Amino acid sequence: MHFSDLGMIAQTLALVFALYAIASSALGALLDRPALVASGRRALYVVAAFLVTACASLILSFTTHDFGARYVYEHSSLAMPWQYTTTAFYSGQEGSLLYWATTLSLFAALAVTLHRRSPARLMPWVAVVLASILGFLLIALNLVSTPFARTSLVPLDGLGLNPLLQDPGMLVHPPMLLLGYMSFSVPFAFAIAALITGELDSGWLRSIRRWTLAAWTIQTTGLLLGAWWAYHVLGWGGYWGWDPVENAALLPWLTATAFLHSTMVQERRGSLKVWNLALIIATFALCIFGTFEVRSGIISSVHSFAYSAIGGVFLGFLAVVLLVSIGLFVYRLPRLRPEHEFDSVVSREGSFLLNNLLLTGIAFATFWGTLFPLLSSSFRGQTMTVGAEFYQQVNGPLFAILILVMGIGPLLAWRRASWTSVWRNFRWPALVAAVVAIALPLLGVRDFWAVIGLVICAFAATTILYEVWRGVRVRHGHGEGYPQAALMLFNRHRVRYGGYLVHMGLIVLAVGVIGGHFFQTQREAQLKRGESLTVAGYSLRFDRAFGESEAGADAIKAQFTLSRDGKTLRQIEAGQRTFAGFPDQPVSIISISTFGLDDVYVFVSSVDGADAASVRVFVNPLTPLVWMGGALMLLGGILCWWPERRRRPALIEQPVRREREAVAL
Amino acid sequence: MNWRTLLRQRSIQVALAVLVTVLAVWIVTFAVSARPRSVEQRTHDIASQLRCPICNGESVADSSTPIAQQMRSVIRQDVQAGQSDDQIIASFRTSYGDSILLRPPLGGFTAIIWFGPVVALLAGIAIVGVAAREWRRAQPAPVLAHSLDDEAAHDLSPDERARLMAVLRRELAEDEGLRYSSGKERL
Repeated sequence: MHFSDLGMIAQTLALVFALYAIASSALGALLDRPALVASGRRALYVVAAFLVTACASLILSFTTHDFGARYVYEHSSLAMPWQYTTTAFYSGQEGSLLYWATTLSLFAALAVTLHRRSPARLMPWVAVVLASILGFLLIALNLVSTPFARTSLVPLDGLGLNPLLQDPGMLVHPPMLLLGYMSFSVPFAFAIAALITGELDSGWLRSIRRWTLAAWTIQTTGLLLGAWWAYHVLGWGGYWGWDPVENAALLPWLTATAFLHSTMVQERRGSLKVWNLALIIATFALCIFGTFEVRSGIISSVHSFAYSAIGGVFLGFLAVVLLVSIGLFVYRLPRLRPEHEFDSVVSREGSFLLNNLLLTGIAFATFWGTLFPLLSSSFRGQTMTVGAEFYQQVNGPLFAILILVMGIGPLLAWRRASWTSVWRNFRWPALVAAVVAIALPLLGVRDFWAVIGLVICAFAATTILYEVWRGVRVRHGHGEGYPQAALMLFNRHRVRYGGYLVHMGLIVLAVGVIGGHFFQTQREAQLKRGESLTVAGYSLRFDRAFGESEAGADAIKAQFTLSRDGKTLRQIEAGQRTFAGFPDQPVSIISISTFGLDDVYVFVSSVDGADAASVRVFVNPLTPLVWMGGALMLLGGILCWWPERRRRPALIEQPVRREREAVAL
Repeated sequence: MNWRTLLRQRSIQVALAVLVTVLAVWIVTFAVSARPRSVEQRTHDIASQLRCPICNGESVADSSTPIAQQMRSVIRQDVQAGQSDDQIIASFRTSYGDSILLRPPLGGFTAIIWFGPVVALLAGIAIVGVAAREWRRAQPAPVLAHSLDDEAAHDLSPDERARLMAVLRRELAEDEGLRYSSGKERL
């Protein structure tokens, strides 16, 4: 027996138990039989166990080079280093589906365990929804595209892995992004369960808050890793090309971000119930849409790694998800009345509303641009491509306003803010923004839109720093040293200050994006040995070219000396790598050197003998800030997610005592 | 408050003065001393509006394929020969067809891509606007955001105000697990 046979058996049994979990949990909820509900929960554990077994079998098939399994044959070869052989299991469509199902089963098991004590009527339905999603994935795995199919003839060696995927970035980027897509299933399951049971108060929202935060953080990581991978591999000097597949990953992130904000309004004020449900359903639907888009290959993209008939299956699932959600939604609409009306637009609620408007606006524009080629080819018979330009022109201003609102919103009071407090909170940030607005043009920044963007960033960053400073100052007034005061502030109000950290990260990232977009300089040239190319003050001298043999690949590299103002900075190497079995798909070796806040990005398009090379050099000012800002966002996301310390129970009695004291005073 | 009393406030005067200074600097730097774009910049701007014919959705500016390199050098030559951006793009459009354009033109069928987001955003603003009018019609809430310096707090006698401040500060400090010292610190 082969490992792939074991995997086949495991995934078949997983399907059986997933179907049982649906039936048992649903019957348990309908007939009010706790034993059936518990049985359904345990069935989910069994599904997880079988799927982990299936995953392990697939990995073992890869590491033992069992080329009789077609998936292993198509995605690996003997020459590949072990780390790519192991991770090749999620590089193709069948394996990534298995990876998705396995991680979802683990999350589902975790969710039903952690929330055993959540509203009892809700949990069986959460289990039903999660088991149904699992059931769908398992049906697709078993009937449409299984990674365990065998060929009658066992080939001696495999075809190998797509060279673009043989990169360290690929070890982490796809699993993170798939994990992100998957983890939005849990909030979706709670939302559907709340709709089914009609328990639409804030209970379900509280239960999913941290799940959504976790999913958001994972998705952010996936997006950042994707950008980093593109920057290091694709060779056009940028990291985000508004490619349809990138857009597909950004869409659920945008709606989830909107949800994380509007959920606060519902928790505090009991309004926006309909909107929150819609956002969480939209987020999940967009995850499915993204998978459909990537897998069906209906839209041309640089991510065209795996096409198949599975696209249609996902489209069907998407239709079911939308129909069920909308049906439940309409059915429960009478119960979704707000508890409190809004008081004023100039308030925290108002700024959340604007935030949501902008985020969904960006999401819509992105969705629209992504779908447009499809529309034009079906209505006009001609495929129009929508390039980065469209997204930059539409989404750029929206993001700028979003960052402006991000600076203002958190300092507005709930319900209604007075103009006096607005003035007091914003006079210093406004002054800093004005100083930046005057300084930048005088320092030689001549692009109007870059100045506008940077001024907005300066304003928003100052509001955040000012707010943190005021918190620290109050604590310092109570006898804490400044470092301790800052630490305690972040430690005791994790959600609030974690949120500020995320905002700060986004601002830093935005400055990096502005720098790369407006101030990038690039030149291309064919250099002979000893010749130099100067770009934005950096001088690149071509020294020599040489060949190198690596594990499973051959590399041709060109060596350069990078200098500035006559001073040698460092020696760099860039070139092309050709993997065994893929002579026509060389992968570029890009050299990125960071000096302060400048990235010097060297791409060699061809090496012509030992004495000539064609190079393209980009100098990207401020681009390192993109990664620093991203790291800050992740840190903030984790801080928000980290469990709050339990409040002391004595607090319940304290107010009474305090009131008496206050009267006595 | 009408605009005359508004103008008399010092804070408003300061804000206006700063605004005027910023505008003056901007007008001088952006309008008066605008620099023409360099050949490389123009080449890049034009190339990023054209689709690389053999790639998956990459622009001529981004792609590293030989054909994209050739197209870039053609653009560079045209720029140096003194053609305008529109002329160069139009010449590519006649030889490759509409599908070479990465930026859909603003006329005819492709206009809907530009108008879609705008219409959606306006609809969103309209919905929020209508909702906001309904909220305003509902009972206005008291202003909660004032600190004790605000006009809303002026009904209190100074003694009462100081006492309430002390209570508030102590409660907040206790909530935070901080040592409470008699109210010298500012909130």
